[in-house]
Amino acid sequence: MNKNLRISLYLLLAAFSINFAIAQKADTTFSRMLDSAMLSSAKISCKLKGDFKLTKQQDAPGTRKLEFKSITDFLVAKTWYNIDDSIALKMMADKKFLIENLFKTQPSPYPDAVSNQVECPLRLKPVPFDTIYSNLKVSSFRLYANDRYIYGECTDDVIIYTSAYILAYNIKEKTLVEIKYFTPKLKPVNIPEVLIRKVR
Amino acid sequence: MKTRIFLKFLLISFLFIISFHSIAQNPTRPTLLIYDSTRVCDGFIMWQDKTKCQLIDRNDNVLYNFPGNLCSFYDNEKKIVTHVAGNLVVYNKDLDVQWKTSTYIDHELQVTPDNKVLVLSVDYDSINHMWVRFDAIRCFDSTGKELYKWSTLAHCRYLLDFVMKDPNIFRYKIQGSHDPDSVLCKMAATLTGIDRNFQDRELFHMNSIQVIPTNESEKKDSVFRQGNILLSFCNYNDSLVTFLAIVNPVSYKILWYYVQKDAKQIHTPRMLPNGNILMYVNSDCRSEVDSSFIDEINPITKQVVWNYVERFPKVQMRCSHGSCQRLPNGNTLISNINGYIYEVTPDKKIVWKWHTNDTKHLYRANWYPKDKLNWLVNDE
Repeated sequence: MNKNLRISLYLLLAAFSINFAIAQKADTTFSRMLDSAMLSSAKISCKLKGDFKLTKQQDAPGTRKLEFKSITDFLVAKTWYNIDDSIALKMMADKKFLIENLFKTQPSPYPDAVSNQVECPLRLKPVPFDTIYSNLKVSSFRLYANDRYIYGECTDDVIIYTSAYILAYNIKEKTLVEIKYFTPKLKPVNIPEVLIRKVR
Repeated sequence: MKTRIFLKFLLISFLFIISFHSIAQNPTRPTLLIYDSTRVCDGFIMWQDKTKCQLIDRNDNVLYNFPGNLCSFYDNEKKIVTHVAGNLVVYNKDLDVQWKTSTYIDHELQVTPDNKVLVLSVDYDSINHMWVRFDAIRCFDSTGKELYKWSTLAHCRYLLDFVMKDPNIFRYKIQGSHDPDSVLCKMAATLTGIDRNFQDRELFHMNSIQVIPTNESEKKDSVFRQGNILLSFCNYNDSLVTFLAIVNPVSYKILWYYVQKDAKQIHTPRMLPNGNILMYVNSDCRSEVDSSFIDEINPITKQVVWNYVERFPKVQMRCSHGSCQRLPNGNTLISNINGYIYEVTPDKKIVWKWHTNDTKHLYRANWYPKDKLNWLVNDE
């Protein structure tokens, strides 16, 4: 299986996890969704199709970073190859830790300080979901981003994109993939539909 | 009659809805109030609150959000150093964690010129069955290995002896034994009471570290030489008067100190290249003075050579927070508890002003030259 196909497969599977995270359906439903994803994997083409174009490729020892752009959407996929389970799982845990803490209130340097701070609205906080399916461990979030694809915004007026943030580790192939997918906030489709349509 | 009651009901309901709406409002973006592009020191601003650090440009475009409430950079390694949920964490712009070590950092996180990380962390110890909080300076190398820890608990005898020598610093007379544990325990109990939050039982509260850079004063007195450490001790629970100290970087013996009697707290004292020390000072809450101020002092004469006073509206908390930084063009960047960041010229004219309504935890603002953060902001 070539690398682009593997990325596409991960994308599809992770898309279902995002979908699940948003819909908060039961585990059994999710398993069925993954099963159908696996069954339909044969239909996945070897490259991202649609109006996506590869705009950037960065190769470094053990990693590859690809950026795809369409008229409205942006996708970044970074892959680490030949990575040990313990290192990959630690990387996933560390990245989750940072993403989640972008929205958490830390203790104040001055405990006596009072605040009228309005915390990040719940609807803008990350919606996480973790699962293991066969050889694939997936962590994913629904996030929002500003015009520079920066996470961590908590005000509607600067949020431009809805984003799927996906970490998927293939235990068998020792490959870790990180995908950030950005689509306009006002676009009247949900992320999984977009992802699935475009990777086929 | 019924109509009047109904109207009153409507009015009360309306007021209730309005007040509820004001409480439950969503965060709003900060407002850029003043921007004189001809006189500001061009560069980026990083501000920090309880949730994150945020890098903005002078037009208030958000360039990056950093997880963590204290942030700094490894100058040459394109890495971010920060405190996240009780951990010192180093990561790159893609959030790939380089190393992480458990330590609760309070107030300060500095990357030294030789790429070490100096932090102020919190230490607790039980003395006579009572928890007492102390601060510790911890130093890590660029791989996360801890090089040393200097704790006010371990050196309390030395610090107590030092502060008790000068009645300008120490407010209270110790009765009875001078045994450190006994003194500390008595102090903690006397000053804070058993029912207070245990975090308040603290004698030596530090809130700032600077490794002194090369400066003009070191030519006149070796106390101010490059590499010594400038510390700020706060009047945290009324035990001490706020003072600054310069210490030896190895022995941590106090070589110089400066008492600020009128201050509740001093923030971000920094030795400037001209040999003066710039500091943000919260006025003493017990006084009628309703202000904070920025002082630039000559450390040899201890005289104020430049001063800027902030006039606050009456707010509940005006006695904590704030920061200042002298910029390369001579302007001074100031942040305060009321959510303002602004830049003043040497003649005290405000040339850039930014305000956020959403935080009373605006802790610090730091200026960075654009070329230093190209790796973060541009697509490198």
